[in-house]
Amino acid sequence: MIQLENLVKRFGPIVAVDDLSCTIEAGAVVGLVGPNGAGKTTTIRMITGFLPPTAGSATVAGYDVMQQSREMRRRIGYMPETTPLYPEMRVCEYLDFRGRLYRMPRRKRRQRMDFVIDRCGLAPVQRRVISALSRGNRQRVGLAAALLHEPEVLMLDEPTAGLDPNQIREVRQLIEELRGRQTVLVSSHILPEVERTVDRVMVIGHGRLLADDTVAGLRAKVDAGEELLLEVATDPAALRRLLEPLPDVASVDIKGRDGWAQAVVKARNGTDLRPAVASAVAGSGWTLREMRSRHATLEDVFRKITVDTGTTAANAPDAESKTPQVKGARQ
Amino acid sequence: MPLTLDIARRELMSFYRSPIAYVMAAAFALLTCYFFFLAFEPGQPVSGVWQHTFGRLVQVMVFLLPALSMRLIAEEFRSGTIETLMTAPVTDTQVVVGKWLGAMGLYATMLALPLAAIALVAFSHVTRDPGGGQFLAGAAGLLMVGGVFMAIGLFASAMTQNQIVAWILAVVMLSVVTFVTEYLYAARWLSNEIREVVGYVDVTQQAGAFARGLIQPAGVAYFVTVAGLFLFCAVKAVESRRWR
Repeated sequence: MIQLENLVKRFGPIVAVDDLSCTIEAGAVVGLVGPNGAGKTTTIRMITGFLPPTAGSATVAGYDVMQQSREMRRRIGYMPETTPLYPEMRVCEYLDFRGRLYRMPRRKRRQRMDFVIDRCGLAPVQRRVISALSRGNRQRVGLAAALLHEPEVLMLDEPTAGLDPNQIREVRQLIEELRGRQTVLVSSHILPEVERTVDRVMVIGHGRLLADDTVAGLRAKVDAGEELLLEVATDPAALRRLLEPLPDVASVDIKGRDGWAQAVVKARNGTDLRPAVASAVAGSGWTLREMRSRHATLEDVFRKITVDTGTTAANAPDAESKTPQVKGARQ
Repeated sequence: MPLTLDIARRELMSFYRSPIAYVMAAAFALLTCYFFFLAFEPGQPVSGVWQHTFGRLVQVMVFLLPALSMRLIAEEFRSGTIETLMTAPVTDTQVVVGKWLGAMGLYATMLALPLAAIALVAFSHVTRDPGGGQFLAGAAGLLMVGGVFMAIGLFASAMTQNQIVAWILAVVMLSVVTFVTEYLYAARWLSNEIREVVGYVDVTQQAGAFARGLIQPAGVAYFVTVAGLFLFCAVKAVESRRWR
């Protein structure tokens, strides 16, 4: 549905997007994730045809974004980062205007307006002037406008920025409901938000695609096994002596605090260490206060990939690409 | 065309909800009546009055109209709504022409009311030769001057996202085709050929012909060409801003 080939965008000497290639299938819900300034917005703007790429090409729904721009634009719904709206218009007037821009016939327009107003929870405010709306309601108006013309591809740039937790959940639910019917590309710099909604995550940093995988796949890449956290009332050194000889233990990291030893145990080959560790601790007679296993969250993945690229050089395509200067010198 | 009209309609609606439109309409009405009553005397021939009123109005429009056109595109870029507009299936030309039409709709209404008022006064006090044809020609001239000024203002608005800068740019450009050309046309140190060219470019001269009751094809062609030229420049300016 979306196909990017060696997409590059330079603003003078600054390389905002550097050689980005990927394919997104129809119906997929994909998260575009990276720190601020990574090139997420620039990438989305190029896919929507708002910014022309410096090099490379992008195809959406089979149409080239530059050559067949208007055909392509009919098929996308786009909500930009800050949800820009015309403050002096009423909500229903704005939606009506958007419908007209897509040449929707009157009846169809009415019908779709009612649908999106209902779906985005705008019924109570539909007669209000946009400038009088709260941040959350404005976001809903932006979302409603993007959905109005039944786009095949929906692109949401930071749809949850500035919303409270309840509103974030609403947006997430809405995206869930669109799953399968529309291709959705959603960008965010906060990982847990997309972690739960997307099928696939594309991590970008400094304009480059650093990782492109399912949520589970990404986790597996960064952290092979799961971690076991436990707190035992004993001396750290004693706990280390107990845990290290256990089979399949890859590493043990122990800190002592207020008479409690806090250990992080990593397993080899994805083994479940819980039974072995539990019986070992029980056998020693020490008081066990806590034991839980922890999966790597996307947050960990994110930090690993975007910050310490050096340690995961195998996963990241190019660890050096962190500074634009290095990039410039290489080309 | 329907898309262009939709954009024009939205623009007009936006004007009717902004205080600036009402302030400008009030100022325009006051000035129109002021210029008219300065020259008008009941029972006297009215021909000179029309020339005087329309001539002075063109001069104040150099400052007033940019205040209407300054936000047209600059504001879209500042608030970011340009992004949602340009990613909808519309062309840059439709956006620019639509905005120009919307602004012209407002200008036409704000022109019509005071002109109707002074026409009523003039025609009810003058028995011999009220100059109705001359009045209509002058009004048509004002509409055309407005079209050119609005196109130049729109071009200025497309070059910046700051409305004040857009206003200043427009006033400077409009001054060149009114005050500067007027001065050069009267300058004795220029050769007659050059002065003739300057006189053709001068908006006040072109509008003056209309105010005398002369609607000539060359005059109409002048306004249509200049307005078209600046609308074209505005389209190019919008296009180029997306490339940066």
